[in-house]
Amino acid sequence: MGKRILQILTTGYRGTLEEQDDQVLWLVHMLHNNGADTDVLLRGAAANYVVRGQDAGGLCFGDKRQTQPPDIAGEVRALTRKGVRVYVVLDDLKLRGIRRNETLEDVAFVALAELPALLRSYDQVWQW
Amino acid sequence: MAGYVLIAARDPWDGPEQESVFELAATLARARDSVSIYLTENGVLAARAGGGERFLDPLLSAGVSVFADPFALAERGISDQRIVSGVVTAPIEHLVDLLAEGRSGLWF
Amino acid sequence: MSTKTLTFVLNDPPYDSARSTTALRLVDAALKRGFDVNVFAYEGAVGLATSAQTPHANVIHGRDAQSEDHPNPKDWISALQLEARRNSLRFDWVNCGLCSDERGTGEAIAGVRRGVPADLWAFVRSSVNTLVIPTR
Repeated sequence: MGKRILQILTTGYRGTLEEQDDQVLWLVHMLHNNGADTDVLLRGAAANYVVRGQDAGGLCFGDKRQTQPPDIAGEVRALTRKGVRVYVVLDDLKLRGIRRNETLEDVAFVALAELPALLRSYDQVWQW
Repeated sequence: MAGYVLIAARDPWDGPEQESVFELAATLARARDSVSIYLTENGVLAARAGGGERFLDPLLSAGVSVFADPFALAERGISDQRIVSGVVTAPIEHLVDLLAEGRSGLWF
Repeated sequence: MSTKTLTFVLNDPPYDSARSTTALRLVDAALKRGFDVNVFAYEGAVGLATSAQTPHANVIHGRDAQSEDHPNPKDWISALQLEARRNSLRFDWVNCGLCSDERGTGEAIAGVRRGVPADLWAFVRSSVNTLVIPTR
């Protein structure tokens, strides 16, 4: 079986404050760095990952301040700069009132109706 | 009973079950119970204008107080200018205050 | 005037959802508001205070362990314990003992004790309110 993999991420912000990143995007980085041919499709709450201006700074418990908050948009940007294609479902953005001019550059928008063709273009599809 | 605070922590578009918090709020409000909703985590996605009105406008009209966690809003890049009209940003200390009133806290 | 108490029942393990962080934010907020706080850690939440948690580096972030400053929830809990002591507030954290046993979670940090459902009931009776943060 071929090994071109599409990673579908539907849950957003799952433990991202504790991990200081998104665990799946982190894994995609690692897979890519190890030679995998893998791209990302963001759906559901994870569609919000392409929004500019996300700021998770300021988390503090007593005197213990988080010094390295997650930079989710930065992680997405870093993937696209490495050549990983990051798709986001346009319908999921529209539902949530996210305007295209509020999103990162270099992200590819795909309509729900276009998903069958997109999924078919990969050898494997993993849903997280 | 001192009323309710329903904590909406999940993306309301993530399947019909996730809308149940708003359905319960409406039901309680119709029964003239005092109801507040506190949006946090992915629940604040409902507070973004241009998307969340369908969940929140009916509740706001029915007298339900809707609060949104500013930390969660900022974490998701939702600025003050992009919040559904009628939703009040309130730090998580306000949720503590609502619980301290004796409201039953139901986490969704 | 005696201090009022709030009780939180947690269910989620660390790193698996936003709920564990929000729960600790609520504890922090309750302490800031001058409440004594009880936590009953149930099921996976018994992992939040495990003393053996260790931070790690992050090669994707390009940071070594020190600069990554990766959170271990046990340290957040310790910071909250310190905050409580500083303000002469009580912060009582009980791990469900059977939940700990079945998960083999091992030792918890100082100030976290092993308990049973009767402890939760004692918490509830002494509190102005109890909030369950359920898992999903």
